[in-house]
Amino acid sequence: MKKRTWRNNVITVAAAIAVLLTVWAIAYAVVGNDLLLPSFAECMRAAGELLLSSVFWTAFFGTLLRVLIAFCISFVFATIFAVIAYMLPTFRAFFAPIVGAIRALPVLAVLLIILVWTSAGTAPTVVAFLSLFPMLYTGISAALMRVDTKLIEMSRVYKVPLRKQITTLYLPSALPAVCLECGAAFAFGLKAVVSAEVLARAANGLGTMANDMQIYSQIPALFALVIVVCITGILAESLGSIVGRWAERRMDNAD
Amino acid sequence: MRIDVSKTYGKQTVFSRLQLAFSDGEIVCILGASGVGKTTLLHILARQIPFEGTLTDVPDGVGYAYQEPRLLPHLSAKENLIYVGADENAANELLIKVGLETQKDKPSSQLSGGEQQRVALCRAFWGKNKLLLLDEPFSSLDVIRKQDLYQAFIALWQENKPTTVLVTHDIEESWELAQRVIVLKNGKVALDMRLPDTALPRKIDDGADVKAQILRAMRD
Repeated sequence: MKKRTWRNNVITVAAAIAVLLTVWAIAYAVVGNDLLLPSFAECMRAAGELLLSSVFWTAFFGTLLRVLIAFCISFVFATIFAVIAYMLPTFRAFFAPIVGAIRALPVLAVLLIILVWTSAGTAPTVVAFLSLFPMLYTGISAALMRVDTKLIEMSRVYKVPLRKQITTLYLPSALPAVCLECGAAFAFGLKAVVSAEVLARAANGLGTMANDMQIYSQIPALFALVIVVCITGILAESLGSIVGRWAERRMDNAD
Repeated sequence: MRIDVSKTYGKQTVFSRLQLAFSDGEIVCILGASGVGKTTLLHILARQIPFEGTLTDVPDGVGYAYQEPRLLPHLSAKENLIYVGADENAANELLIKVGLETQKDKPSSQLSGGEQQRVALCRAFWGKNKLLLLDEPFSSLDVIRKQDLYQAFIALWQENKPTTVLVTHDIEESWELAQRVIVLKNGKVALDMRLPDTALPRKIDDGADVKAQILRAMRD
């Protein structure tokens, strides 16, 4: 298969953005109502104002902090449980339906229950944890299962110390998939936190800010805020993808 | 070194009291049809799988080379030896002996199949283990590379003469490398034959009668 170049990728992304903007322009012309669908230019103007306001940045970092806390807690627990499941097949079988149940939770409905138990500021973090934990657990488990069993057997025959096996065999083998998963999980966590903030009306949150904009009919600003959340998610996912690919290339020694 | 072992997988019996004795420093070739339990025997000798019976005077540490090199692809040839415990000097020395001095810092994934198998052989010989277990390490190579690797193997073996159990299905290979040949059939020893005491590796053209005898034992 022909290898895609960096230049090709930029052209493809630019073409996709151009198509989206064209669809937006056509929809704007068809709808013809700024309150329902503002123009792209109006949204950009609102985005400029948003990025210059300290209120936005307080909300942005408030949301980011919630995502980060949920992500870190999920990552630590997912890693611990995935390692236990990798070592103990019985535990893996026992834990599978529990993870399945957590994954199946309607998190926004569960948020209403969580709100009874915790504060509006904490609830989005808990919701994000419930979304991210099964995702990261599954991803890390799959990455561990992909470590070459023949190399594990060889390491056992040569009595390679476990610490060396972890740093030299397991980590480099699992890292590419884990990095990709982390990027996707962070982006998903951002969506979960913002959605939960809308419902919980958490202080210093992009979700709450979006809710206020909707109430006060600041539609261009609302669109701008959604675009900022999208871009942040894409950046997180891209970062995970770049680090994952770098780790994969290092493992394969592909130039 | 003696073994008296039985092994079953579920209801299938691989060996029932298989008794073998190996002299120190000999190269023993184990031949037999696929599924006869050649690799299982190596796993038992390396204490990698549960079994019934006893291993007497079988050393704890073994050198092991597999059909495929099993190198960590992101590590260089030298780093692969260091991974199993060799120090840098020992790794360099071993790699020089098998003609990989210019390749030793190359990532192992960039080495050819023959070069990778040389590194795997160095790894098996590292540590001067008294027992060397080889599970068809030459089988994936072409004839020319195979002959080169036989030379490298015998050169390394001559240094400390570890007891070597080489599993193969190649009668020519057993003739060229082994001092003794054991043919396994239906979980039992069908042939246990000492080969002429000549310099190794033996010439490929010789030993037609011996090869015919091994083939008969495998067939009958």
